[in-house]
Amino acid sequence: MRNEDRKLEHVIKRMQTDNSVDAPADLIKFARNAFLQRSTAKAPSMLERIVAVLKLDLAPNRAAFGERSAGGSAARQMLFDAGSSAIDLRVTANADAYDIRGQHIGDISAETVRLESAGTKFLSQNDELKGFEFTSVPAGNYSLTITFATSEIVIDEIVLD
Amino acid sequence: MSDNNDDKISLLDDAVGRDDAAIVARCRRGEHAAWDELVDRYQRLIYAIPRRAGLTDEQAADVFQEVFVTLVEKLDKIEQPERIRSWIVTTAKFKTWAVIRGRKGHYSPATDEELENELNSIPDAAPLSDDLLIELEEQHLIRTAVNELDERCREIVSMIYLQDTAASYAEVAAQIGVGETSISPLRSRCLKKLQKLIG
Repeated sequence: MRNEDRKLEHVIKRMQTDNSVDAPADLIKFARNAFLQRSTAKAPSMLERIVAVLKLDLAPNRAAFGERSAGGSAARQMLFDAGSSAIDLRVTANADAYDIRGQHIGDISAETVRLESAGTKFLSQNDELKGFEFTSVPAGNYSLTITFATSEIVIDEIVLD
Repeated sequence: MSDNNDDKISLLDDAVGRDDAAIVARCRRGEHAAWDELVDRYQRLIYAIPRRAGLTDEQAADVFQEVFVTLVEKLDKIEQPERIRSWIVTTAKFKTWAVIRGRKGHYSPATDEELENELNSIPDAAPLSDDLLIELEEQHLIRTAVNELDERCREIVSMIYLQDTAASYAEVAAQIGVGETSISPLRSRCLKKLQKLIG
């Protein structure tokens, strides 16, 4: 068989055994938005950076503001003020790690949400309710950055211990 | 299972990314449209690597996201942008292996040497064999070439060769609006065009 024919046969065989699928739409959206990090990094002067301030830190199983009837949550709850918006974080301890669920309370949706410590980075995206989630996060000191098109909100220190 | 060793045919030898370098250059200039093109071109290949290694959908999603985040971070440092396909495959393989080994979080070796050491630590029996990666890479090349075909050829080749169940000539003929007897010569012509595009 001629080399060209063998090559064509090889191509056909490859096509017939190709069972790959497109990545889910939300992942493709994430990948496209990842480029925005580069855009904002290239133009730091155009990016407004807001440092969030801790306003409330409730230990697990404690009711907020002296509530009597409601049971306390099993999660540690933190509420941060970030100018015209706020960040609600719930941290739940598991056997050897933590799950963090949060919500950005504001007008616009975030492009990405990053949870970072030295050498470790977790990424999430806003869901429809501007919520985000990180699971199985090891103990440590982290910063949380919520990036929007022209601004970012930073929580400098979240201690998981 | 790859048949690459059986017939000694490889599509990768001369398949340097024809316009990958141009797309990367546009990305480096900050063109979001070029980045979208890069994402569209490589999303399927990047997603296929962790899935074929047996990772869960959630783990495959993590690998997928990490590869693109790393690509954004290192876009300006990739020395041979025309070989970005190899870079992507190596990075996806490395990150897949990191998940298999149980490493948590986003981790990127700081240097090429560190990356090489990490890759060398992957045992031969790991789920991502070289043959499998070659197969995935070749399938990516073929799909890219199919997408460059004219619309009619793209339809014919996709219906006959790229669907789970191959379409019959009658079905293809009905879809593109020609007589059934025209499909065989059209198919041959389209395959020749495809072969030319693959190089």
